[in-house]
Amino acid sequence: MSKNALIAVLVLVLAMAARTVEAYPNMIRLGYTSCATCHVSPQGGGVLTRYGRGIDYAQTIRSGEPPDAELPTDALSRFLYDVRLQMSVDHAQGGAEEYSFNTNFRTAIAMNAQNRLVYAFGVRSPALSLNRRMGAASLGMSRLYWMYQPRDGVALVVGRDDLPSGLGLPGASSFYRTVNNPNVSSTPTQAKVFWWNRRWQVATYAYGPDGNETQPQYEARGAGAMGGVNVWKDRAVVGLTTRVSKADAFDRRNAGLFARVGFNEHVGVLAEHDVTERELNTGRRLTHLAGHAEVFFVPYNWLQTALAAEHLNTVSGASTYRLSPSVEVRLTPNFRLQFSSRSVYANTDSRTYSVSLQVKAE
Amino acid sequence: MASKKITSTCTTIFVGLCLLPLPARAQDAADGQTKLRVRNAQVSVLCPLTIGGSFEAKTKALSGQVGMAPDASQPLDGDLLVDLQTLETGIGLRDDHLRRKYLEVERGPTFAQARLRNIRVEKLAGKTPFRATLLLHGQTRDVTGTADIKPEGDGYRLNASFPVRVSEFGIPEPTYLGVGVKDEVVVRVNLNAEPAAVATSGRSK
Repeated sequence: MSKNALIAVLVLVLAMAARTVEAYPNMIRLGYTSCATCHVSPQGGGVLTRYGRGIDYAQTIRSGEPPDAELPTDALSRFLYDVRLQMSVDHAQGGAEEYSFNTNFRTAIAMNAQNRLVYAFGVRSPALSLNRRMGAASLGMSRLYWMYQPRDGVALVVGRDDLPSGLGLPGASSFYRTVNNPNVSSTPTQAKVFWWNRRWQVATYAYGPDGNETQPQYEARGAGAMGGVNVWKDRAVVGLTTRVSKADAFDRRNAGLFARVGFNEHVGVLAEHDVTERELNTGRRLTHLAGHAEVFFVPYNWLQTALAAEHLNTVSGASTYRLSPSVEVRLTPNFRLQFSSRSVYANTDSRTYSVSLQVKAE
Repeated sequence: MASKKITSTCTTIFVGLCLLPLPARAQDAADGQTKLRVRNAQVSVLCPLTIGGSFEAKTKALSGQVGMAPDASQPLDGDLLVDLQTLETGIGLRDDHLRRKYLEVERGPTFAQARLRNIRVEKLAGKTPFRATLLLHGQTRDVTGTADIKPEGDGYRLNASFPVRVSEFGIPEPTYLGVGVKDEVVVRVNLNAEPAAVATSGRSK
C-alpha cells in the first residue's frame, strides 16, 4: 500500500470513529444558559456529560442517539473521554500552506457522583509546509484538576485549567492575551468555586504559577471573579468579570463585561470586552482595551456560521483588529469540517485561510 | 370652572370613542351571527429543564373558531385545536422524543391534538383571567391563566398563557440522559382572530 493510500485509509477510519467537541456559547440560542448543562466543567469546554453528548449527537446531519442512550437516566458515567484529532491547512496571504496535525486526549473519571478527576493532554505535530520548513513537535498536559460537586449548582475545582471567562472561547482570549497578559501561563494552578442556578452563575477563583511561564519574573499570583445573570427568557445572559494579579515583573488589574444573547434559535450575538491596566516593574503603565464580538447564524444545527470581530487597543499605543468569518459543518457525530479566515489589521495587514478536519473518538 | 367643564366633556367624548368599537363587536357576537376564526397563531410551550435553562416547543398549527358569548358567565362557543405533531423545539431528535415518546401522538387523534374548549373570559378586551378545559394526551383537565385581548381591525389579537402540570395529563416524566423537564410547563398562545363566515348553529367539532 502506498504512503498516500495509507494516509487516506487512516483519515477515513478516523472519520468514521471520531468526533470533536468545543465550547459553544451560542447554545444560548436554544435556551442553554449555563455550560454546566452539557459539560463536566461548569465553565464549559472539555469533556461532555452524557446529556451533552446526546445534544451533540443530535446536532449533526446524521443525528441519532448516543451509544449509552438506553442506560438508566441516572446512571453514573465513570469514564467519560474523547480523543480529538485535527488536521489543518493554513494559508497565509503571500505565504505557503502550512499543514498541522494535533491530537488531544481528554478524560473525566468519576470516583462517585460528587468527585471527578479531569485530565487533558495534547500532542502537536511540527507545522509542515511546501518548502519543508518544520517546527518542533510538542507534548503537553493542558489540564489536570479535581472537581467536587456536593450538590447540583455548586462545584469546587482545584488544579490546572483555563481561568473562567465570560464567553469561555479560548480562541478569543488568545488573540489579545499575548499583548495584555504576555508571558504567563494560560492554564495556571488554581482553586475555584462555581455556583449557579436558573438565574445566576458565579465563579470565584485564586491562582498561582504552574511552571509554564516564560521566565520566573512572570510567575503571577492573583484572584478574580465572574458573575452572570439570566436576564431574558433563558436567552440572554449578561455579566461582569474582574481579575487582579501580581508578579515580579508586573501588577495587573482587569475588568470586563460580557453578553450571550440568542434572539431566536438561529441568530444571536456573543460579546466580551474588558479593560486591563498593567504596571511594569520598569515603572511603565499600560492600559489595554480588548474585546470579542460575534454574530452567529445557525440555519441548521449541523451548519454553524459566525462572524467575529476582535480588537486590541493600547491607550497611547498600537491598535490591532481581527475579522474572522467561520463555517462549521457537522457531518456525523464523529466528523466535522471547519472553514475560517482571519484577517488582521495592524501596522501590517495579513489574512490567513484555514480549513480543518476534526474527528473524535470516545 | 368653564375650563374644567370643557375638559370633563372632552374626556367623556374621548373615552366614549375609545370604547365604541367594543360594544359593536360584542353585539355581533351576541347575535350569534359572527364567529371568530383563528389566523396567524403561534403556540409555544416553555419547558424548564431540571438543571437550569429551558427550551420552547413551538407550532403555528393552531386552528378553530369561537363565537362570542352573550355574557361572561357563558363559555365561548367553539374549540381551539393544536396539532401536536408539528411541535418543534429546535433540535430534531428532541422533537421526535417529544412527539412519539411523551405526547404519544401516534396513539390517535386525542393524542395527536390538544383541544381547548369551554373557554371563559371575564371580559372581551384588556387583561383578563380565563378558564378552559384542556384535552391533552387523552386526559381532560381544567386550566386557568391570563389573557390579553386587544381589538384589531375587524377581529382581535390575543396573548394568553397558562401553566400545565405534565403529570396531571398522564404524560411520562420527560427525561433524557439524566436531564429532565420540570413538571410545570407554561403554554403561551398568541393569535389573531378575524370574523369567520356566517355560522349557522352549533359548536364546532
